[in-house]
Amino acid sequence: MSTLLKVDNVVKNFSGLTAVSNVSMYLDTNELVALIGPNGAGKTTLFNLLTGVIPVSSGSIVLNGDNGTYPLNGKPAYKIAKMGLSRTFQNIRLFKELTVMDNVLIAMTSKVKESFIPTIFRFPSYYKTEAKLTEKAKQLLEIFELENDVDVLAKNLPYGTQRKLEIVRALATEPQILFLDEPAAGMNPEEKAELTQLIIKVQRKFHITILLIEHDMSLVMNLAQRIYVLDHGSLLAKGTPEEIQSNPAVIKAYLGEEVD
Amino acid sequence: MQTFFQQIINGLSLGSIYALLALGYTMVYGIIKLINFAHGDIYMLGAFWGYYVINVWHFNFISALLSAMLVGAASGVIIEYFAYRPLRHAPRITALITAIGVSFLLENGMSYLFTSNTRNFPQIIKQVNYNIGGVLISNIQILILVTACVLMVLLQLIIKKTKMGTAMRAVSVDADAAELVGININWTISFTFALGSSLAGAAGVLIGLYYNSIDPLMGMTPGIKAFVAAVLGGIGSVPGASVGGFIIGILETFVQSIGLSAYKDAVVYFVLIVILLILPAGIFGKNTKEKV
Amino acid sequence: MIGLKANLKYNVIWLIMMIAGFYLINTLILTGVIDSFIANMLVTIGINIILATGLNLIIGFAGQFSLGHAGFMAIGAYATAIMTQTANSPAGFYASIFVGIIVSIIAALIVGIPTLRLRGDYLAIATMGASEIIRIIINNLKITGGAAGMFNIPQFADWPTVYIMVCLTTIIIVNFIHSRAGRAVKSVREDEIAAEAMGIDITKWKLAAFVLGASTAAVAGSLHASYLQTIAPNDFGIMESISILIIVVLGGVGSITGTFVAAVVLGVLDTVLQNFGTLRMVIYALALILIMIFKPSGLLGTWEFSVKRLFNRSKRKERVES
Repeated sequence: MSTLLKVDNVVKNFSGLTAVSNVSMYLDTNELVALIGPNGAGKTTLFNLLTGVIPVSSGSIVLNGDNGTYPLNGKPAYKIAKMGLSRTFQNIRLFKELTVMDNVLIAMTSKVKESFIPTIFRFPSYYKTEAKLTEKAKQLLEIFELENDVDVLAKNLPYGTQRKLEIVRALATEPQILFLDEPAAGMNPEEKAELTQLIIKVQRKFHITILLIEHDMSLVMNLAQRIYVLDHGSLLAKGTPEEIQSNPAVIKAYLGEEVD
Repeated sequence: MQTFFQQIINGLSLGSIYALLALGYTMVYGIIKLINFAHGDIYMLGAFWGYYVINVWHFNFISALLSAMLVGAASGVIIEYFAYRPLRHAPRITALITAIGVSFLLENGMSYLFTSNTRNFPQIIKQVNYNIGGVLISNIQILILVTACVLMVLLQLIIKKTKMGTAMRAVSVDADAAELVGININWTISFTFALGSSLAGAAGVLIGLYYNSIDPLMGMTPGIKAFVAAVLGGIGSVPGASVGGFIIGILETFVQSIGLSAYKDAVVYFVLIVILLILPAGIFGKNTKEKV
Repeated sequence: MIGLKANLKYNVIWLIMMIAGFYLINTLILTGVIDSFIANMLVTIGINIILATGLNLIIGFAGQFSLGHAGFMAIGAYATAIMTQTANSPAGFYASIFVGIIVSIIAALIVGIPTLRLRGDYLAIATMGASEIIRIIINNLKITGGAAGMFNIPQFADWPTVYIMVCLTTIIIVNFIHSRAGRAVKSVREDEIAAEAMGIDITKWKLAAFVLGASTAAVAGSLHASYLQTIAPNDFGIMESISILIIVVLGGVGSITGTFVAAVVLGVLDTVLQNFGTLRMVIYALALILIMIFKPSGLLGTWEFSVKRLFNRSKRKERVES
């Protein structure tokens, strides 16, 4: 195992308010790590920093991927995505008016090069790349049993399915690291169990690293190899699920909150 | 230095007209997010009303101004009721096209009914020029400035101190929440249109006095300029609209005075684009970031 | 999976339809059913279609509210008017179209790179301002004939040229929309943050749509100048941008078929109303307001005509019947 992503002393200030302070963490290849913490602890902000949606105030984020070592801080989000960091969103951000297939194909945009003239005048090469992309998208959708919904508009999918589609879309960018922001939010126990299986399957099949934000403790304890606990913008604890469960600081932070 | 102050005076007079118009744009935009393209034409209606009542009924300045404000308010409310209310939940671009349609209707309707000729506005107040240290200022300019300022202060009082003003602010922040606490949305929107359109009506009479000529298409260019002023100040912001109006008025007269009158509109637009690039929500606008 | 052959079939059908349309109009002109008056109307409709499909790409598919289309049209028109004065030949005309496209692309980049960061109405007003700046510059230059404009522009654009250009620009824009590029552009419209997170360079794709729309507007401008033979800066003011916008919204934002329908409806309406004198614009305005109130998403919404769908449907029917 080698370190894939190294985060050092990352800080984010919003007009005087410190949302994330001095967070350092790492992700190894093929690891499934969870990020937990009470509401407002800064988990999603940390995700936004790691994926470049908002810039860090200070600190460094370095990707040590297949193609060498790259600093990620200061890079725009689309470049970070191209380098292999993909994500889902807590408040589902699908392309609502587009079909399931289009949602997945869009995530593959940067994976192929189609030049202007062959596209506009429909050269055979255009049809070949399109067919190849569609085939690949279908394979991905099959894993999540969405192959029958390819022509459905994303907004018309049931809530749980929308969450699944977000994961498919993120996978379509062929990430090295996948960030899942509360993938089980709003799901019932059966759906949660199914999702847990899916996440394990995805990680094995695609050999990717996953960082997961989740409130459902049973899901986290089942899935995660390591856990980071964030509270008031800074790291409160880190360790294996067993270590976290017996950590007095964590128990104190969660006092009054549900721990099941 | 004399020419500088002269241009400031001229710019403020013109700017106060733009400011009065910009206030209507900004209030309507603030409350229903619509660029009310027909707003410039209400200003035209106000000017024509003033022309009519002064010539036919021999109204004096004050009664012409007040009645033009009433006519402006009434037209604004009627337009909102028939053309915009049915589209309140339609795509915004649809409402925009409807507003453009209303604008066409008013311009061409007036041309059709009363011909598109340019007319001389009756000069009920005899122009007197005062020379203050080499700077010429006319009584009409003073009148325009004073009237505009009084109206703006009144507007600010209505928005800040009255119940209706509070309702307006509430609806513009969150219409659904406002409805939940018992605010009548339809009334509030009608009131906003009445308020904004009455200012346009007043501006129409003032411009008639200032430029001495009116025609059915007179609202088009000032309407667009006033909208630019509203955007410049930060659309939805009442002080922003006033400041934007004065900036545009002064900018225009200055560009004209240095011999670039052919490019005066180009300069206005250029300044607008530059300001938007530095402050994407205008000078007083709030830049809202999307939450992820 | 639709193979190459099937796609070829649909493309051939489209091609046949275009050629058939051409011969239909040609025959009607030869037999005198279409007189010069109606031919004029057809050319105007054609030019409006080119303008409005380009604007629909920018507004309906990329979601960027531009109100400056007339400025790019002006660039094409003046490129043709100026160049064909000296290069008075069909070759000169086509060269002028090319130059118009290049200049409008440069202008679109200069306007678009800074302003496409703005959102919604702010973008609309900034592009309107930029387009007005272009018009005012033209209004004050010597080479463009100032406010009086240019006269006696040689006529190289007849209705076949316009027809072919309508087909060509529509093919380019529709094929752009139905491709990787089009999907990227639509994702920007749907959700900029999600698009970026999926590796989409949103600035690049907004610009791509804006530049493509602007270059087709330049083509329309060239045709306009060459067909009418007279142009003036005031032809390309805010009102022209607005009338292109009206076609887009009336047809349905995001429907190219709708743009065609709206351009035809408005073209015919305009011709019919010519007999009404001053009342014409009053009726036009009323019609506009009423259509918008009763059909808020435009005549066709986002519906598109598709040969492929038509075929699959009739096939499905056959299967059910047999």
